[in-house]
Amino acid sequence: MTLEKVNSSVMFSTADQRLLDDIYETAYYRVARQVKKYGGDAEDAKDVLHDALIILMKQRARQTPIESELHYLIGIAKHLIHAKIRKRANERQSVELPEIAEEQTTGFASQTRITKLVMTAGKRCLDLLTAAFIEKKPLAVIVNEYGFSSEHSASVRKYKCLEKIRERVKTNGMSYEDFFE
Amino acid sequence: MRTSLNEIKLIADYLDGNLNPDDRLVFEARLLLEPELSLNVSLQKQIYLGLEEYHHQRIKAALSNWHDEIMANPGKINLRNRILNLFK
Repeated sequence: MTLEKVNSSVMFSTADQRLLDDIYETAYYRVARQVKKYGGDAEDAKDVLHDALIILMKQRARQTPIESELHYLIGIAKHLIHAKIRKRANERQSVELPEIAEEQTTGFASQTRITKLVMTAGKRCLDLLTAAFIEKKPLAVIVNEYGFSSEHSASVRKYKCLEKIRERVKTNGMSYEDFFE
Repeated sequence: MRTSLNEIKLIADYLDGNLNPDDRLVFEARLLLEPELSLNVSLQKQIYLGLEEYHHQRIKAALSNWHDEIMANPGKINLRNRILNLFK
C-alpha cells in the first residue's frame, strides 16, 4: 500500500456528516476564493478544505471548545494555503536536491522511509493499529468492530502487528546512519 | 505474551503515559542503560507517526468520496457552478 493508494474504510458519524454538509454550504466557496487569490486551482481548494476539515474533526473528537467552527475552519484554511504556497516555492528552489531537503525535515531518522514501510503492513493491521494508537478506541470497541473473541486476543494481535512493522523496519529500512548520524 | 511483545506493550504504555510513576522511573532508568530499548522507543514513536499519516490519508480518501457525492447531488448545482466559474 502506498501513500497514494490508501483506500478509505472510514465511516463518518451522523454529527460529522452534518458538519460536512454545513461546511460545504458555508465555507467551501470562501476557501476556494482564497485559494484562487493565491494562484491555486480547484484541486488545491478541495485539498485545503479537506485538510482543514480533518483538523476541525480532530478538535471535535478531543472536545476542544471552539466558539465558531466556521471561523476556526476559515482560519486554518488560510494558514494551510500559505503553507502550501511556501512549500511549492521551496520545492521549486530545491528541485535538484529533493531527497536531502526531505531528510533534513524529518530529523532523527528518515520518517518518510519508515512511513512507507508502515504502509506495507496490510490493511487489517493498519486499521487495527490506527484504532488502538491513533484514534485511541477502547479495547472493548475494537473487539466488537474487528470481531475478536476477547480483549486479550485483540491486544495480542495489535502488539504482533507492531512487532511485524518493527521487524520490517529493522530489516529493510534502517541503516546505521539513520540512527547515529 | 512473548518477551518481545511484552516489551512492545511496555513501550506503548510508556508513550501513552499509562505507566504508574514508579514504573515510569524504572523504565526511564532502563532507557539510560539499554541503548537497544532506547532505540526501540524511538522506532515505535516513528511507527506511530507513520500510522498518523495512514489515518490522515484514509480520512482524506473518505472526504474525497464525500466530495464526489455531494458535488454530483442535483441539490448542490449552485455550489458546483459557483466553484466551476471561480476556476474557469
